[in-house]
Amino acid sequence: MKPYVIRRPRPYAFVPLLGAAGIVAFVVAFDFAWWFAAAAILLALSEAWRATLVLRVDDKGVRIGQRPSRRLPQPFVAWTSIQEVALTETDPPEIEVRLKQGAPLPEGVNSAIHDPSQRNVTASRLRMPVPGADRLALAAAVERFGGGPLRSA
Amino acid sequence: MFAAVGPFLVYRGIVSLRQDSRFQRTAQRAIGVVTQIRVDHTGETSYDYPVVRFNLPDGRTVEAAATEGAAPGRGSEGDQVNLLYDPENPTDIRIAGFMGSGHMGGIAMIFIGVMFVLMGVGIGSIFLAVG
Repeated sequence: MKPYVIRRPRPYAFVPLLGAAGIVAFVVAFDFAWWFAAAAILLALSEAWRATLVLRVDDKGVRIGQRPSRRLPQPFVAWTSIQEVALTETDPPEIEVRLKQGAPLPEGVNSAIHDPSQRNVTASRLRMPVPGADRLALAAAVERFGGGPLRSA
Repeated sequence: MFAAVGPFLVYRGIVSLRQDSRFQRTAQRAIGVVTQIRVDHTGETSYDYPVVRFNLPDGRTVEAAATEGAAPGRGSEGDQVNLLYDPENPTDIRIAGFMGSGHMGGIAMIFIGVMFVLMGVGIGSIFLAVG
């Protein structure tokens, strides 16, 4: 089964391309080494492509395409740390990845709070609007890869 | 350019000092356990950002990464640490002995800002005198 992936152009996805354009202009203006511009373009395209990711659910876990920060990569949670995945009924719907009690703080997440009155742990970086999410396809991917149902919240 | 960047740095430094001062006034103390050490490589240097787990008086458990790093080797997993947290936002923590527990960041920013202003004024004066 293919991973469930949502990609969308976002304003900050174009920032690396602007940087690359500046470097290309510098290379052309000062007759600098062409490979420098080629490397900048490749790097910028890679960063821009990464920044278009909104959500990916695959056999390894769930990656949420939060806006990248200087110190934190996009949040990724392995299935072994996930208690459940929920999608709200709001417009736009929001996805929330809830952690198991005692799960280590996932990559790209800088804080989480565990409330003993609930079974799971919530973290603000693991909740994000996903406009245009296909509820049925997402539920199928969560069930197939995570072995549990997509919760409605 | 120095004269333009300098005042901005001074402003940011003052804002940082005020935020830190407010945090120090309202923060609560707790003892936490280091659960992870995250390493951030910036160029040739690297900084450790400990992740700490601690309990709040209402029974909730918080796990949070320090916002300010320190040189490697200042702590390891399983260590107990004294920390301060903001009761309004308990994921905002400062760990005693790490850079984030003092005013150094804001003071350094103000110092660099003042130096930039002085350099800008100095360079501008030289240009005026020559031109």
